[in-house]
Amino acid sequence: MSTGNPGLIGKAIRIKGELHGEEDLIIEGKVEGTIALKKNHLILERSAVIAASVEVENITIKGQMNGNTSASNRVEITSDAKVVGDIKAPRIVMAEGARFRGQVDMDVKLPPGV
Amino acid sequence: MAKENGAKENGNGKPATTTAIGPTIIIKGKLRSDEDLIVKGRVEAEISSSKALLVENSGIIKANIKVKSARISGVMVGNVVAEERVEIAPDGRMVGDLTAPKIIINDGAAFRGRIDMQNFDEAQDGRPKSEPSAPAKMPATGGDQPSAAAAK
Amino acid sequence: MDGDKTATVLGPTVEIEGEIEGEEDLVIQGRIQGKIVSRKDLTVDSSGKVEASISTKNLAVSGMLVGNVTATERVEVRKEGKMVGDIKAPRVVIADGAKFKGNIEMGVD
Repeated sequence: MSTGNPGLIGKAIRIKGELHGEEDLIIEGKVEGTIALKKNHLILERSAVIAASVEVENITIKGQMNGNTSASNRVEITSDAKVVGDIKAPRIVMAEGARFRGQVDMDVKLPPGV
Repeated sequence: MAKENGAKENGNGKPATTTAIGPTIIIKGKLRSDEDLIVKGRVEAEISSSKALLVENSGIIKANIKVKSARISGVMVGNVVAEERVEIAPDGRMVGDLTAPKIIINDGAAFRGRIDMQNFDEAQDGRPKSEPSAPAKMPATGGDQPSAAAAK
Repeated sequence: MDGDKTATVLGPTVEIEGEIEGEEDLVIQGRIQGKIVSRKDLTVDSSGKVEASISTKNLAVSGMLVGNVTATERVEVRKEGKMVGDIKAPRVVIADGAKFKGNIEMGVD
């Protein structure tokens, strides 16, 4: 995890390409491509529009996300979010009002005999 | 007459029945109901209900179900189609596809499968937009591309 | 016969086609078709309509039952009850007013 303030991609910024780093990041603008913040927390604010595949430790999605997400720890989809894509993470929280369409893959331990 | 431990009152004083399937009960086949169902046992039967379904911690459902709403605190293996809402409680575990207008996954829940919310393109207040949809159960689903304006 | 502990009550709008197995008391108020195996007490309430083979400890029928019954203790067809099928149980009570058609075999060995 990073020390200091998270980076910020402001509302009026548009990025196309590969974004990777080693600090927490807040995105308010548009990103198209890939995002890799494998040891960090990514926050997609309500104004964010992402068309990318994402690999993070934790992610909080409050905006629009179109793409697959892989998190090593936790994915949180808030009630303002609209997500299309697959999510793979050990923990996922989806709030009431969130809009989602895609595959969800968490580790599900079923009892024996099911 | 046996004690009706499932009966409860609804607003008008008329008993609204709830069926509670106890922890040692195993049901296989098909189950239809027009009353709330609480599953504490094992149901390997397709459930079709116009009311709510509650899968308690000890409950295991291994079948496709079609209900009005569902709350899963136990184990659900199968596809769930709900008219109103599905909630996977923190101790719930589900493998299967979820189709419902409202879906809540609590922290701690485990889920693997597809999630398909109809009304995907509706405004948050529920007014449907009339976009043509890919084949889906409900007519009001829209396309997969997010619209450009996400800001509220 | 009626439970001092909780029973599973399958309410009047519940329809099951298939098999039910249980180790707790079971009360049927809806429709069951298939097979019921219980190690405890089974009650078919007056609204219950059961078309199934039944294996249980005690059975009380106040509704409708079509099917053969094997009970380890007792079968009672109450006065509102109607049953068509064979009964195999050490004790059988058919109340005045009950309707019954079938064979009865007591003295399970």
